[in-house]
Amino acid sequence: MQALERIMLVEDDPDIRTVVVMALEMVGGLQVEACESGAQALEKVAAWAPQLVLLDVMMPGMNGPEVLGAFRARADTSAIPVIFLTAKAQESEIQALRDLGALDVIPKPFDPMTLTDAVRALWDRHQKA
Amino acid sequence: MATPASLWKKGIRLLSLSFGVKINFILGLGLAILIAVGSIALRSVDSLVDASSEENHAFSAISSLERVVGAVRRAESAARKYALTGEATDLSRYRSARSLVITTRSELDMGGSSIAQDHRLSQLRTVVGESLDRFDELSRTRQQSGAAAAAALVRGGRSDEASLRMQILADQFRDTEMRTLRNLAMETRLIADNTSFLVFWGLAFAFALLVWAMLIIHRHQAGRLSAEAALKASEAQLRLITNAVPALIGYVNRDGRLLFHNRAFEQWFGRSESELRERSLASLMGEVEYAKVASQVGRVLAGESTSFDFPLHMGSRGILHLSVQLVPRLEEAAKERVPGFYALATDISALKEVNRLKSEFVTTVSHELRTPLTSIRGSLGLLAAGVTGALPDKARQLVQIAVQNCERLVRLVNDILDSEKMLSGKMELKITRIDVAALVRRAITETEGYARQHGVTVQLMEAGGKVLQVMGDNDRLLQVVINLLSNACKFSPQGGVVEVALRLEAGQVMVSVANRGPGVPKPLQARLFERFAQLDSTDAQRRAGTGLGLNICKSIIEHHGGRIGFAEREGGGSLFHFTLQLAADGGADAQQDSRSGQAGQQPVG
Repeated sequence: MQALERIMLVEDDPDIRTVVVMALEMVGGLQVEACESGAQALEKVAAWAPQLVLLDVMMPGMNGPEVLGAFRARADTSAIPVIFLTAKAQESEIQALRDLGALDVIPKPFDPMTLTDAVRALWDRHQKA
Repeated sequence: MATPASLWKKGIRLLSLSFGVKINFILGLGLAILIAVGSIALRSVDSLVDASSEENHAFSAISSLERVVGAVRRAESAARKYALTGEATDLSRYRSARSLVITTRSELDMGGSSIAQDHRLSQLRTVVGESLDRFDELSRTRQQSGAAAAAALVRGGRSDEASLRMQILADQFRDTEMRTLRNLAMETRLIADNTSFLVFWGLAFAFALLVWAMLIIHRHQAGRLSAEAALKASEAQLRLITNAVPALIGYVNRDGRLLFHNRAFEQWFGRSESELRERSLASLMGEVEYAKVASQVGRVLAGESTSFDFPLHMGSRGILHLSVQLVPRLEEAAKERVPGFYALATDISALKEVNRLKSEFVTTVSHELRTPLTSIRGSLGLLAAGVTGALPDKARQLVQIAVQNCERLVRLVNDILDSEKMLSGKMELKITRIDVAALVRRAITETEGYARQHGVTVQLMEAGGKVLQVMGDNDRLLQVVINLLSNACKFSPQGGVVEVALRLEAGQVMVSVANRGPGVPKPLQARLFERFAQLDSTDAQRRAGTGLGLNICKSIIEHHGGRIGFAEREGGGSLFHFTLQLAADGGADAQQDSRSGQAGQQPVG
């Protein structure tokens, strides 16, 4: 089973981006490439080759589901597992995001100290599957 | 016994009788009086006719008597003259007078007014016969023996004696008949007086009754006319009011036909008054729309009032959001069968829109708050954990305060969103079969850290040897137990014990969470489960809550068809409990459970 090391974060809010990067790198010891938009993510994804993508849902330009669609449409990114980060709390919305083919949904706000654990747990579940 | 008071009461009762009964009674009484007066008058006339014939008889008897007595006197005088003169002409006069006596004497055969009078008449007839015999003897003596013998016979005085007897008898007869006549006259007068009195007063009373009946009829007629006018005025006013109300107001009979409708029906459905009159509700709404309310109509026709919200699809005219109330028409006469129902439907489209906007606003605000909260919580979390380097003690203390309050803010945002979902009826329950003991154990595990933080031990008392299962939403029920547990820990004294118990009571699973804290202040108890019930509290611990938790718990439990409650514990502390319906076959004996038969305490945390 492959250990999780390289992650890509797509988040338009610079503050959240900073916090998540610090939590994943300084607490979780992961390597993170942070992108501020979907377009930037699609541009960098090939070069960075992340094992997993943390994707914000509400973003200007391409929103999270659209970025996921674009990933799935490209041969080199179609298999990368995606976890959504969302501030939307409605059960129906969360279920809809899962149904799009995401690994899971992590609701905002989250605890920065346990964020990496949550992500690793989902990664492990994905690896076993 | 009929005392004056009871008669008066009966009279009053008569006055208060219905119009028909009163009129029939009065006319019947009048008719009876007229029949009585008529029969009395008829009998009086009969009596008067009898009296008159008796009178005639008495008069004719007297006049016959006078004629007989006169004829006898004339025959006596003619016989005496012939005895003196002996002339043939006088004899002839005597003979004609004699035959007159014979003729008139037969009139005395008619009889008198009494037996005594009949006897007198018979005596008179005898005396007259004797007189005629003496007159014949006198005339015969004159013819055969000459004037001297006849004179001697006259002087003999027998003739005077008979004349005197006849006169006495005639006088007695006349006096008696006259007395009879006087009596008859008096009797006749009395009958006439009485009859006229009775007829007059009888007719007067009958007339008075007739006048009374006419007055009653007139008054009844006037009353009916004024009642009709009042009814028309009241109906017109009622129609004005119902037409002015911006809501559908109608009456629908048992066959589903609209028997009454206000103008709003015409405006909302775009139909004329005549098109709506007695139209069936199904054809007015359309079969598809009507099918959606058919069960409610069934309920109201079974005698139950109902109210419900209903989006009425009106084709090209869009959707009309209605708040509908159906009230059965319940009358004494139709107790067993509701003849129809009243319908009141208000357009709540605007209200729905306001609610939708409010819901959207709360959802948006909640989302918008989460974004900055994510940064704040993340930053503070990292700072507090010392990820960026160890903080000085004072700074760490301040950051800790910020972290706690940030978490409280997150809870508040979550609770507001939950509360909004429940208020707008958007809470979706994912119903599965749940083992309540497992659920409670998970809640205890989740609150372990919190309990430790407050120095509190949680003890679980399970229902002896039973696996209790309910049908419900696992996450939502977990939220309830966690909420009750957190509250119990928060308000427990340091080193205290929170007791969680599971029980099966009459097919209901009861979960209770109890502590030995300060309890709930009396003024707060009544509204403990209301939204923001704790707002006016000044207790620092209480202020750490959102004020929505218990209200959300209540909504969740009630959505599951259960009940939630609170009780004060003897010896201090609070006990919160909720019940849930045991699932079918949800109370099996837990033979495989290692804790079965223990029914004891299982300290956790």
